Parts: sequence; structure tokens; C-alpha cells
Amino acid sequence: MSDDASPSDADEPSATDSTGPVEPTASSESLVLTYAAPFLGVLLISVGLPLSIVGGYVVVQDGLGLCGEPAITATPADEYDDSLATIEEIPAEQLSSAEREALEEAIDSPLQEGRVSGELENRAALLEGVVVEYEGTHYYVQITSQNSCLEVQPLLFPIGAVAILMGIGGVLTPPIYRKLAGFEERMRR
Amino acid sequence: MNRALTEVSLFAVVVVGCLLTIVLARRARGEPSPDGGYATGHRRELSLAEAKAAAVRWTTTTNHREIGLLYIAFGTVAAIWGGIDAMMIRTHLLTPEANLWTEQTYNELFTMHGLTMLIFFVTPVFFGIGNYFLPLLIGADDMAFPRLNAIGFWLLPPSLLLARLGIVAEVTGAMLAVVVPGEWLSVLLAFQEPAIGWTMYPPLSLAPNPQTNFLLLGLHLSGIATTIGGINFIATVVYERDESIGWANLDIFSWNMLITSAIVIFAFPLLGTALLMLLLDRNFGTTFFTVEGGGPILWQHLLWFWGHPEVYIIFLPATGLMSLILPKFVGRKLFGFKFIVYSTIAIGVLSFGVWAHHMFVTGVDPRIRASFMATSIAIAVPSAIKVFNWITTMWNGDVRLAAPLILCVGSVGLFIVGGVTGIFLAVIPVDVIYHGTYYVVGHFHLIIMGIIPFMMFAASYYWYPLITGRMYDRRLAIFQSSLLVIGSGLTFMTLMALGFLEHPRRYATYPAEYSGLHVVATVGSFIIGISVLMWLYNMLWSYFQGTPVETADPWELKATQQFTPEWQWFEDRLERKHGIPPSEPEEVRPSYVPAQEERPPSLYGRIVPVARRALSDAGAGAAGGFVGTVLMTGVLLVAVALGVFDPESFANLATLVGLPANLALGYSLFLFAGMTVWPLLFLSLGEYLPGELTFITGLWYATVIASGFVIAFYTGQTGLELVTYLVFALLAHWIYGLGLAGMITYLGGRRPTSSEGPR
Ligand code: HEM
Ligand SMILES: [Cu+2]
Repeated sequence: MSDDASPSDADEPSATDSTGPVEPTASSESLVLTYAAPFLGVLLISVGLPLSIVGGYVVVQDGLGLCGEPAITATPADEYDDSLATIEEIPAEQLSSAEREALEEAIDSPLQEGRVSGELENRAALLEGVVVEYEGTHYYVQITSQNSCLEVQPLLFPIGAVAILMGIGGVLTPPIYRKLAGFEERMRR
Repeated sequence: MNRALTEVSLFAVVVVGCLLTIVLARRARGEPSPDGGYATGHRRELSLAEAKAAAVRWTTTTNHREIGLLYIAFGTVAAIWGGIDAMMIRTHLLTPEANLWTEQTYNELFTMHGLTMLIFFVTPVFFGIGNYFLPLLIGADDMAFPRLNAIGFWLLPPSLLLARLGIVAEVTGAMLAVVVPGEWLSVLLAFQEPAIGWTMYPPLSLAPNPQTNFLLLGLHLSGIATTIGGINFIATVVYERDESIGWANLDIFSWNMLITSAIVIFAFPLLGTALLMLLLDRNFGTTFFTVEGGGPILWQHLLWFWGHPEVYIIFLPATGLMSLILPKFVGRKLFGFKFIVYSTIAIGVLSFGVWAHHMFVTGVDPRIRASFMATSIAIAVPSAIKVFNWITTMWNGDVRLAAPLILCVGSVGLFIVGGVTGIFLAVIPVDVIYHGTYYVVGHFHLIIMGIIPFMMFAASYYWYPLITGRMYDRRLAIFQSSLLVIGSGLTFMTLMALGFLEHPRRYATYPAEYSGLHVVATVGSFIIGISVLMWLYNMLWSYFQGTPVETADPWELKATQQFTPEWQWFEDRLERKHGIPPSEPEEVRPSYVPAQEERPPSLYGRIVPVARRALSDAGAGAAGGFVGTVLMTGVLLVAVALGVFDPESFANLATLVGLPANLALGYSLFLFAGMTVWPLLFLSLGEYLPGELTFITGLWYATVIASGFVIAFYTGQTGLELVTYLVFALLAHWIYGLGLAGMITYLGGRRPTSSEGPR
């Protein structure tokens, strides 16, 4: 954004003279074009960024497989002492193959996390948290992230993008204005 | 989305943007100037040997000013990194569900955001400013221990890398995974940024993520660096002062750095010890912080015994800068210098006695708790003294508009809000309700964002001429600082509002009814982000392109007898470098002066040109209309592609003049009208529209006629589609207006406001 603003410093007044600073804004300049227009521009960019992010995300989330793969954690049950006594226990066979893979992944991972890429048959139970016996060890298994899909109107993306572009125009108004004014001046002579 | 990749790419974008700015600014330096001459300044290509020499110089320097700049550069990098975290947090919170990033990612984000900002951004930047200016202010040649100084700095980059190794490892792993089998990389992929909160409370911080170990080591290393720096400041102030500078006329910033350093050497060793104990718990089976051993609460006591003083370690230098800079822009001496010094000392002492106010909800004995409440309220008194002194300093002053002043005033405002909410939090019953809510996040951001970065920016502007010998772009700076104040107010006041609604903090998901306020906070935070980028741009661009300063007194400090030692040093340096004081231009002119036209002398001389003009105007208008309409068509095509504009309505256009409804015919008609009716109307109506320049008039004109277009071509869009339709109609017309006006100007067409027009 910043690169093409090139203040034409050749005819810019000096910032200081022997007595001190020169006023930053000459009286002949319009305050609207120097400050208000860029402000509106920044506002547009700041609104446009979130809009285009969520709008753009819904467009790509399916293509990149970004949603719908919940993550589970598996903590060895002996870390909980006896507090798991009241938790439902389900046998490992009842897990779908995707769930079992995720469980294995979680057991191997130092973060105790795994992703379920496939059928999540025991969604309700896993949301509550269950105890699963797997290869002789009891694990407390629970969904930690549902990774639900984002649902907003994809049209937000172009709206956001346009807002950003217009905003950039607004931010660059002061230098553009000075350029245009110079151009018009030259044309008239 | 993959968090690490997102973060690293954003970081790369910012870095590339900076490099691009530098390259463009350097290139523009050597280009011919409009008057036919060449800008002075030698254009050098950076050769390999020079680059090598520069690298050696910057990595081995022991000069306090160069080390100061290194500190500042390092802190800026960390701030950008932590800032990207913040933007990602806010983006995550746009939607009530955790569907952009996962809950885990969210926890990582706010953990590392807090740590990066507190440890790697704020302290290093203040130490950098201290390094650069403190010796100049007290008339010392250098810091007391220059080599130690360099070591203190060079411990920081490795400690940042250690602390954030998680991201580095993840991204390296992800990139290597393209060429290397996945199993080989499991070590790299096991590193993940800790998601334990910046306070690292056990038992979460005892969880088995290997990266947590490196984080703790990195923090420990940075603590050592900070302690080294603190010792150096104390030794410098105590032993290296010029003879003329005693304790009574030691300037306020040095006083603040001195007291800050004193807090540092008491607080940081404690943090280091606590971190080592946590590391032992994690790796060697000790039980300092486990339930069977010392218990998790022990960690909280140790952490906050460092943590609250740390708050003042980063706050006091900022107040020092405020006390130093504010008087310069209101033309008055700092009011109540002595009391500000006393209040600083009082804060330094008291800051160690309030730590348990962070633990009111952990079940401390009520009587002890009450005493902590008392000390916490008491510490507000010295802070309030400072605020009153600042306000009194401004009172009746000769206030001069400049970016540092805007930042100072904005800071005082935000600090008052932040401070008052802090007093409420010190009251136990209030804290019990608000402790776990966004109220706390709003409160401490109003203070740490509202005064710390603000004062850093103010200092960067204030001393920019001294450091670079050039002036920054002052218009942009005024704009940027106002934007920062507005953005911070918007963001953090909104967080306060969320807190009042008792929205709990640190949750990745939230009830949908809060989403409106979250959107506002996110927009505010992007405003902050943009203004930070503007500052970066201004600093880099002006380094090459700023107007050279022509006096050692760019702020008229001599007139109010505030020409402090660092500026005297600067004056000496300018004298030595240039021999003679630089000359000044006889007169200056603004970048654009409207031309004064002469009137045609005679009646004949008026008629002929008018006739000739009418003809050429029509031609210019038609050409302009053509260009404008073609450009407009491009925009409309995008709207069609998005499905918000129905080309059918174009076809119907033809039926208006009795032709069959056909797209091509309709479009031809559209083009024809765009080349005749509308340009002619523009040429005749333009006079009554605002704007000195044809371009501006063109934009106004386009805005007016867009309303007609919107009604004529409306085809029943609703909701978002309607909004998009409206936006695109407006855009298309603006482009038309610009094309039209541009072409007319280019072809020398008459300005709508002709010679009689008002100026
Ligand atoms: C652009 C500016 C900033 C924005 C938008 C921002 C945003 C946020 C948000 C939304 C959180 C809360 C995360 C959560 O708990 O859910 C947070 C936490 C935090 N921020 Fe910032 N921040 C900014 C600047 C800063 C600065 C400059 C600092 C330090 C100097 C800082 C230090 C912290 C700390 C320590 C926390 C952890 C709070 C806790 O205990 O939960 N932030 N930030
Ligand atoms: Cu505190």
C-alpha cells in the first residue's frame, strides 16, 4: 500500500527554517483532501479486511479441506485419579476407523491430539468425553475442536475487496490529488 | 487455516513491503528533479564488500547509539510479530464459533501475543531509546560498560528465536515436508507454540509440549539480557554523568530509566528462578508447582511478584518520555518536576507490594487480601500525581500541533480511562466479578497500548531529525497519530464494553449476541494495524526522501529555553560536519499554487476563442466520454460476473428509443449517451459543482448522476447484493467521471469553471 505514494519533494516546502518547524499543512490545502479522505479510506480498509477474510475463507475452506475435521485429545486415565469413575466407557471396537486412527495419532503425539478425518460416529459421546480402553490402557478421549465450517455469504469477499481498493484510493488521495493538480496545471499552460 | 504459515507469510509481506519502500526511496533519490537538475546525494550501488563491512560493523559495535538502534530495530520486529498475532486473534473472534482457526490455535495466539509484546517488544525498545539518548542527556561519552551493553543486546535475538521456535519449526517442517518423507520430520512437527496463557500457570504449563521448554529457556535468556541492561543503566547514571549534572538537574527521562533499572534488578532474577523451577518440574520430576508439592498457587505468587513490577518496568520509561516530550510542544517547563520524580520512586517501591491483586480470586486469606487492596489503591496516587502534572503543564501552554503532541494528549486521555478502571479492579468485590472478563483486557490495553507504544511513536517523531538529519512527512505523521488514537480508543473501549457485559476472556468461542461488538473491536484493531504500517513507511521513506533539517533546533526549543543536551550535541555535530551553518532558502512555495489566468483583451478576442472552444470542447467531451464509458464498462462487467448487476437491463435500454431489446444495441446506445449527453451536461453543469480542479468536479458530477443510474437499472436485488450493486454503480461512475475529466483536461478542454468562475 505504501509504495506508490511518492511525495514530490522537489516542490515541497522545507520542513524547518531557521526559526523552527513550518506548519505541516499549508493554508491553501484542503483539510478534507489531506485528512478526511484518507481517514475514510482507512475506515474502508479496516472494514474491508475482515469482510474479505471471512468471505474469502468460505470460498476456499472446502477446497483446502479446512473444515469439518474435528480434533480429539486422549489423556491417559491414570492422570485423573478416580475422577473418571462416573464417565461412560465405550469399547474401542465401537469407534469408527477414522476415530481409531485419530486416537492412535493422539496417543503418539506429544500434544495428545489427533484429527478425525472421516466418519465421526460417536460425535455426541465424544463431545461429552468418554473413557476408551485401547491396547490395555484407559484413555480419556474428548473432542477439543469441532472445526465447524464457516457459514457466511461468499459475496462478502468481493465487497471487502472493493472496500479495500476504494480505501487504498482514499489513503492515497493526498499525493494523488497533488499529482493531478500538477497535471492539470501543466495541461493548462 | 494453518496458523504458522499464515503468520509467517504475513510477516514476510510486511518485510518485503519495507524493503520495497527502501529500494524505491533510494532509487527516487538519484532521479532528476523537475527543474532539470539532479538531486544531490551520491548514488551508490551496494557492493558485496560494503555489505560485508556493514554486517561486521553492526554485529560488533559497542557504540551506545548504534546498539540503541539495534535494540529499537529488534523491538520493532517483535512488535510486528506480536501485532500479527493480535490481528489474528481479532480475526478469529469475528465469528462466534471457532471456525477460522481452532481453539488450540486461538490459545497459542493469545499466549504468544502477550509474551512477545511484553518481553520482546516493549522492554527492548525502551532500552534502545535509553541507550541512544541517556548518555547524550547526561553528557556521558558512552554507557558505563559498552561491551556488556553489546552482549545484553545480542542475547535477545536468540532468546526470541527460542521462545518462538514453535512457529519456526512448524514452518520449516511444513516446507521440508514437500521434499522429505513425513516421518523424518516428526521431531519438527512436535514443536507447537504453547497454548498455556502468557502467565504460564501450572498445571497447564506442565503439559507435555516440548516447545514449552524452549519458551522457558528463551524467557530466561531474555531476563538475563534485561538484567544486564538494567545494571548498565544504573552504573551509567551514577558514574558517568557530566560534572554539570547533579541529582537535582538530572533530566526526567534519565530518572525514570534509573528507577526502572532498579526495579529490573530486583524483579528479573526472581522470574529467572521461577522459570528454572518450572523447567525442573517439567523435566526432572521436581514438584515445586504440582499439587503434591508446592502447589500451583506458589507459581502464581512468584510470577506476579515479578509480573506486577514488570508492568511498571514498561510503564515508567513511557511516563519519562511523556514528561520529557510534552513540555516541548506546549512551550512550558514540566510542572512539578520534583513531585514527578518522587512519584516515580514511590511507584518503584510500591510496585513490589501489590502482586496479590492478581490473585484475589484464588482464595488468599481475606485479611491479607484486604491489605493488598489497600496498597493497590495507594499506588494509584503517584500515578495520578503524574497525570495532574501533565495536565497542568499543558494548561495555558502555547500548544503546537505536531504528531508527538497528538500522541501525548491521546495518551493522557486513554491513560485516565485505563487508570480509573484499574482502581475499580483493585477493589476486591469488583475484581471478583470482572477478573475473568474482557474488562481486564480492556483495562490493561488502555494503559499498555495507550501509553507505551504511543510514547514510543512520539519519541520516534520527536527525535527523528536528530537521528537521521531529515524531517519525516509531517502531514502523514499527524494523520497517523490521530488514526492511532482513534483506533486504540475504538478497540479497547469496545473491549471494556464487552467486559461490562461480562463477556469472559480467553475463550475461543462466545455467544452470538456479542458478535456485533467483536466486529467493532476488530475494525478498530485493523485501524491500529494500518496506522502502524503508515508509521513504518514514514520512517523508512523519510530516511531517504525527507527534507533535510536546516537547523539543530527543529522544534523551536531555544525560544522556550528547553534546548536540552541531546540537541546541543546534535548542533555540535552539524557544525562539525558542515563547517558552516547550512543556508536557508529565500522563500518557499507550496507544492501546488493555482495558476492565475489572464483575461482575453478584446471582444473579438473573446468571441473567436469561445466558438473555437465550443467545438473543441465537444470533441474533448466525446473523447472523454468514450474513455470514461469504456472504463465504466469494465467495472460493470465485474458486477455482472458477481451476479449483482443484470445485463438484461442494458438490453431494455434499446426499447426506450423504439429498438428491439438487444444487448448489443442497448450497449451502443449506452456508449453513445456516455459520449454525448453526459459529457455535454458535464461541461455546462460543471460550473455549479464544487471543486477547484476538473477532476474533483468530475467526481462530484459522477456521484450525482450515479443516483439516476442506480434507479434506472435496479433489477430487484436485496440485502448484500443490493449493497454490492450500489457500490459498483458508484465505483463505475467515479471511474467514468475521472476518465471523462482526465481526457477533457488532457485534450485541453475548457475547465467548467471558466475564467469568471469563483476562485
Ligand atoms: C494492536 C494492538 C493490540 C490488539 C488488537 C490486542 C488484542 C488483544 C486481545 C484481543 C487479547 C485477548 C486475548 C484473550 O484473552 O482472549 C490480548 C491479550 C493480551 N495482550 Fe494485546 N493487543 C494489542 C496490543 C498489545 C500490546 C502493545 C501489548 C503489550 C505491550 C499487549 C499485551 C497483551 C497481553 C499481556 C495479553 C494477555 C492478556 C491475558 O492475560 O489474557 N497487547 N490482546
Ligand atoms: Cu498488578
